[in-house]
Amino acid sequence: MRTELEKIELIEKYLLKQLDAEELQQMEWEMEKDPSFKKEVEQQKQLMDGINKQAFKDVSSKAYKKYKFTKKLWQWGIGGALTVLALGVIIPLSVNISNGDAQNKIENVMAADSLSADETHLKIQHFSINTAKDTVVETDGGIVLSIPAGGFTDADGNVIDGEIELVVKEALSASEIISAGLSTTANGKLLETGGMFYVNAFANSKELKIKKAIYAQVPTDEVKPGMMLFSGEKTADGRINWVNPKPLEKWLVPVEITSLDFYPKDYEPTLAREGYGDKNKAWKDSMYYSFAYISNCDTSNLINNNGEKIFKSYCSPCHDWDRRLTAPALKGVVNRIQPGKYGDVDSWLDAFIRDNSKVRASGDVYSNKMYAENGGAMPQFNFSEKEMKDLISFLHQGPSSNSPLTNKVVNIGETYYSDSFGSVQYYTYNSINPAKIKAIWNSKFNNTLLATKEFEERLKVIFNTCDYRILDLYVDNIDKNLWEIDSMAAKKYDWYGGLNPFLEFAKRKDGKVKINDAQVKALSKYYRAKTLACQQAAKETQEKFRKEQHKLDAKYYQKSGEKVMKDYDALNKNFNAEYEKNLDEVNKKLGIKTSRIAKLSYTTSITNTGWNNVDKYVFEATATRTSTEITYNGKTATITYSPINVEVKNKSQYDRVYSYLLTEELYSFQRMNDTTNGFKEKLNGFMTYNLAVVAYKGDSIFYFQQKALPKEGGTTVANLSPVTQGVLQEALHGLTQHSKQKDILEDLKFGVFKAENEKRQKDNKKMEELRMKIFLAVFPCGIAEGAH
Amino acid sequence: MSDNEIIELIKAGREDKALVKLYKLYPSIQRFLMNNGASKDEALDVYQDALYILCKKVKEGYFTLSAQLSTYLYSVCKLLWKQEQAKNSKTINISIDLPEEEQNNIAEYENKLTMAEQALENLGEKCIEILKAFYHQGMRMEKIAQVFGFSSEKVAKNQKYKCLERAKLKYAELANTNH
Ligand code: HEC
Repeated sequence: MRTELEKIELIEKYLLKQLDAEELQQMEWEMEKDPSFKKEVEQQKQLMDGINKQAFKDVSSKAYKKYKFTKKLWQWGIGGALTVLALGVIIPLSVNISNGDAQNKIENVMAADSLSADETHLKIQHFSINTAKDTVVETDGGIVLSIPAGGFTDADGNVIDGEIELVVKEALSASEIISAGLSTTANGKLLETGGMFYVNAFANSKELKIKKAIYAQVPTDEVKPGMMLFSGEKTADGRINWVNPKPLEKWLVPVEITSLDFYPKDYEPTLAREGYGDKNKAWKDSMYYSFAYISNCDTSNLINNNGEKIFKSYCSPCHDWDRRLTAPALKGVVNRIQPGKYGDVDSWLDAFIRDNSKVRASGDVYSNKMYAENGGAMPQFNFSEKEMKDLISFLHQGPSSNSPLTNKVVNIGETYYSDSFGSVQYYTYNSINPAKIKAIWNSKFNNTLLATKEFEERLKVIFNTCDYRILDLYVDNIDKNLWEIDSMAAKKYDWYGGLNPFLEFAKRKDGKVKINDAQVKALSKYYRAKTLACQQAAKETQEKFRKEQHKLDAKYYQKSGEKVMKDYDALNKNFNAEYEKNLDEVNKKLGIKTSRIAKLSYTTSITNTGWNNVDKYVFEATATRTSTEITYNGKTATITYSPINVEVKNKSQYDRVYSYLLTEELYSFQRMNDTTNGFKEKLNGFMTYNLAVVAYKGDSIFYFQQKALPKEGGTTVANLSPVTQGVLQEALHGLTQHSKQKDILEDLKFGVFKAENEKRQKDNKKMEELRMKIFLAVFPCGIAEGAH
Repeated sequence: MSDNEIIELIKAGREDKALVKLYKLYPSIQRFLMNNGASKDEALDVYQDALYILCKKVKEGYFTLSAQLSTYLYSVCKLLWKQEQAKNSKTINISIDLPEEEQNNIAEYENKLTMAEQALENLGEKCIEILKAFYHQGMRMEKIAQVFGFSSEKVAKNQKYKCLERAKLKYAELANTNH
């Protein structure tokens, strides 16, 4: 009998699928047999689920907090950034504190500070903070106060380092402001306010002074440009006056744009790591921009024409402009439609696009004919009058010249396959296409917001968002304050927890660079056109290059194949010739008269006596190139194969060395086998050999030849000397018959071809490996998948 | 972020990220629930329960995206809240756009899960933490012993089973009274 704990353990193993086959079977059997056991298993499973749910709740609560926090931040970010000015700020006045208990003291100070008797309506919020570090607090009303470390001093100017108490009152809504009796006049003029708050700090009940600015973000729904920060002051007659407005903008100073660094953060470090660190800027640029072909640029916002946008969004799944997809190409459609009783083409289109089945049902000839031809599957569309008008006018005009409909943009995840590149698949998501950087990193954008150190800093972060829309935002709003764009980016940027970097930027309140409307428009247009052109160019260059390489690969493989076949054929023919020669010589010696029958079909072992045996020995001797003695009818014949070594001094210094044996009897040259210091082979005693050694080093050719090698073999030293191609040809001509000279020259030529191609492929591969690494720096969220 | 991306995140075990996204849907659901008598805390509980059902289904491969995620979560929340109210003998009249069968499945599942949660409720902090560490985080017993200060792996293991045993007893009790 199991104990209860053992049972639990068993069930746990079962639920976690840790039982082996046998145990599992046993378990299942038991469950079947015993319903109460089965129920227990069920219950334990439920409990496990319950535990997971508990854990899930932790995760979920955290996520909820994070969500709430991000939501707030956006509000403040936008609110704070765009509407800070509606704030009235009540600066605490320094008042001597009368004695009393601590809380009393604080209240006394606050009472003295209060601008209105009704201020007591406002709740006082206390925060304990430690000034040794930066602190961010959030008030009930959602004001976020960022308090820098060491931000307070005591009355004597000593920086406070420790626990302090922060006191806040806020009046953010109109009703709060009114009920607190806070007026909003600034020197007699009414001030529109986005909210007021009071901040003061105490340590040991003593009032502190602000040393470093506290940054406050105030939530607000309204966006009001031109707001400023005011301080509250009590006038002699007890009213409030808002004074000392502070501007919130900071002007930026543009620098020469090409002096800035617009590369992705990891780009240059990656190059350096890979050993390309000291290439010049032109090289780095061209390497970087060459990646423009990989990723997709946003195409929808490249379209200015509204009708074209509609077409792209609603019709392009089935229709292209000048290419048939599942539905007919719409180029020229306005000329082929026969509107029939609809009167004119536009009315026909209007009706057809809204409800094509209705048009057919009305007996319209053209649509019925077309339906019969195409099968028909066009949905109904419910466009407004204006949209329909734009769409139809687009159908008349066709896409503009720089539209993505005419310039097909590379798809995300383009795959290239080629033997020298392997198959690499790149995914870039919405990453920033280098073409976009090329479009802005030039003198056109000098004296704009983009030509600032501040933007340079943002760009590095923008790269990491992998969201080109953020970059577009900055480029399209170069007339705005940088902090405004930061705020927009903060809102747009889809981020997971942590600090939203753009919110951090927005806090800096970086301003703008003056620019006029016309410039903004022109630059925005330039940005798009240039991006597209650059991407197109990169794509064409890359594709052209890759296609070329692919072609070269194909040619190389084809030629290699042919060469292998040819070599094999020559080898066969050489063997047959040598075998015949040996057989002739042996038969002569042994006094056998033969007709030359069946010599070449000698492939199976034959054991019967007769001259076939001789044949067999000769065949084996030839095949294995070993000296053999053959006795027949009391006579003896000897085939000798003597080893020969050709020594090449400093062989490894050459790129390639070839050594050929040439004899009268054979069909073609005989290639010698490689050794470390030279070559080796065995010489047939029945034949006379000439030797040719050819070596290559770069473009230079080296040559050595020797006529009539000694029959007994031995070692020959090949003293290579430089020659020209002409001299080489001459020399070979003198050494052997014409056909063999030709064969050698062809062999050498193929060697050159092969070496070139091997180098080309190796270079390509190396480059592609490098590109894969750089790719990850260029597209921080990218994935490069594949192998060589 | 699209519904599909959220689902991919869940599948990849990144609920933490997915949930932040999913809470974007919460305000409208919260409003709905609160209009139908839920308190703030109850609304959040219901939403969390719905999220858990969603995540579980996704991870177990039973979830196919036939409608928008928001629609689905909305429906599940309605269902759960209706059920919750029914327990307190209140009926609320809301339509739920989920297939009958799925409604029954979810209702039954939620019932059992609630019981399991109740059974775990009084186990004590340490027990729950140990069980979570083992079942959810997949922490090894050796590590658990270390983290929770048990003298040996064996002691920790024993402790874990004891916790589970108590929960089981409680669960059986609940199951009996509920039927
Ligand atoms: C789901 C696919 C689909 C979509 C989306 C679609 N169409 Fe069509 N369209 C068709 C098919 C299929 C035909 C061929 C006609 C038929 O079979 O009825 C067609 C025919 C046409 C024709 C007549 C073509 C000719 O050669 O005379 C026009 C004009 C047209 N569509 C316009 C549009 C417009 C404008 C939109 C977008 C608002 C659109 N279509 C969206 C499938 C589609």
